[in-house]
Amino acid sequence: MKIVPLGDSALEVRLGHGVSPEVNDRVVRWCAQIEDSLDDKILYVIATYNTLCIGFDPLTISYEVLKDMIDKMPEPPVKNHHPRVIQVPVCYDHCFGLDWDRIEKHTKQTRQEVIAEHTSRDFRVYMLGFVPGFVYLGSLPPELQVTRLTQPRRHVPRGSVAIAGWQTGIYPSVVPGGWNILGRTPMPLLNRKDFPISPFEAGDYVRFSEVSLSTYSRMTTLSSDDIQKMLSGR
Amino acid sequence: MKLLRVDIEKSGLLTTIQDTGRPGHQGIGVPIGGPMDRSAARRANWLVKNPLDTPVLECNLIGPHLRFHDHALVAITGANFNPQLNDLPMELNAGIGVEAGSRIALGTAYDGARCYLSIQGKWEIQKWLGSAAAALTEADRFTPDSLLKKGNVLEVMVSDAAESGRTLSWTDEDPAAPIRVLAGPEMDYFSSARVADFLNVSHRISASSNRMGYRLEQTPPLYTSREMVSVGVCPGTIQIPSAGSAIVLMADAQTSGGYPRFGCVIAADLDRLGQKRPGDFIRFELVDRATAIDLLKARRALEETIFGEHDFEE
Repeated sequence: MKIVPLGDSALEVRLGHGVSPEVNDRVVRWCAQIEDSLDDKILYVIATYNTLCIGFDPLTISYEVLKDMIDKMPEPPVKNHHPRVIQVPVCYDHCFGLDWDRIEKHTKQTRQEVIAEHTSRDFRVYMLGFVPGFVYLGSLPPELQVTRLTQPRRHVPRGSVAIAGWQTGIYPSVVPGGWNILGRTPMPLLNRKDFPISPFEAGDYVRFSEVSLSTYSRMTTLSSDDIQKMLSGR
Repeated sequence: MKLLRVDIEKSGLLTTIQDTGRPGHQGIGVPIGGPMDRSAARRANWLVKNPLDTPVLECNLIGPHLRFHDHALVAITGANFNPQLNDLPMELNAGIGVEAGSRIALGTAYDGARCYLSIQGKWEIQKWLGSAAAALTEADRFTPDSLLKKGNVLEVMVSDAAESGRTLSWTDEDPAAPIRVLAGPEMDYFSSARVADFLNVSHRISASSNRMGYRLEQTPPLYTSREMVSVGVCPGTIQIPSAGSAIVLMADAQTSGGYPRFGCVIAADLDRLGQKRPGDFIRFELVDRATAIDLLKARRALEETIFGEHDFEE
């Protein structure tokens, strides 16, 4: 573990290199430990692939004191529990999957083959970021990897499920974006009133599940819990 | 108490409602938000005897026109937008009593980018995650009141008695002074000659700058072949995208990014940077952490001499 300053009001805790479930598990464990024990001393914690970014008011607590407190913490124990698997329905129809031509060309696979691959594995939620509720999921097999659009879209539709390189992600709101769009989920991704605000946390796994246009339409009024029940009963 | 209605007759160019924002929710990607010039927003609330974290209007380059249906106590701080109260010049940095039926019209900013308009009372406004600050990626769903549109109505619970406001003599820091920065975690990705080049020139703020960040033009290109995965970023972080021209993240900064973090603007200089406008030139000066903290302490002490002795009734 290495701690470095990020300006005068944040610091970064480095917990490993590269992208792996093991390093990211360590990030999740440290994130929980720091949020639990330093809640009244810090402003926020951002967990990424292999770091934590901790914001603080330097006139309330100094970088040196905060660094020392974290340095002296014990390594949080590994918990042997099964991670949560969240089912995410996706309609891969051409009306939602705006980049199928490009995806088929780059992967040299048919749409059906790509969908079969995309729905056949659990993807880890490595981090949330970019915009509220955007989830970074990995990792795609090499045969599904497609580079980003050369010209990002100005408005990616809400709920779009997309791929870029080894990552796949879900857009919770209408924002600019350069990932290749495969389809769209009817699942609510960002709550206005209820907690949790996002159904996902780093360390969860996501299993995409193909739904038809008519199922998509029926699901648009459901909560994410109801969608879980409906997909589990399949 | 009664409900004051304020009609938005003209929205201005991105007029938003801001308060202290949403610190604590960055883990799910929510920007901190809040005023680009926090001190000016606090001063505006102080002038009308509001709690300092009460919502205010943040006006950006071109201000709104407002019609007050009842009397109100109003103050404007920050950049000068040539505000007019019933077609007469309106004083800045003063709590001003406004009669029922009055119109406040803000023009175009000429000595900064943003001004703050406070109204005494309790703002009746939809919040998201405890804050009324406009959530610009989801404004319609989450903070529909906070991105001003023509025809909107602001509602503020005000007291029946007409109260007098405060006045303040305020001198902005020298706008030409350099923006001070701390070395960022990836500054060493760049050669010392390149770092010196970056610090020795003036950078022009691009027209495509906004509350998320300022893009800088005419920057000597900074190239690195080193790749990194996304890491945490915050307001003040200076990122160097692969195209080589820098981005300084501002109040609505995203929470993560995969570009080298060249430097970080010190907290004491963020408000001053928040008053810069597209086309303005800025220079950076590298300082150490002890200096950054001393400057922040001096700023807070200055605010405390203004606000400190007064009680704020909730």
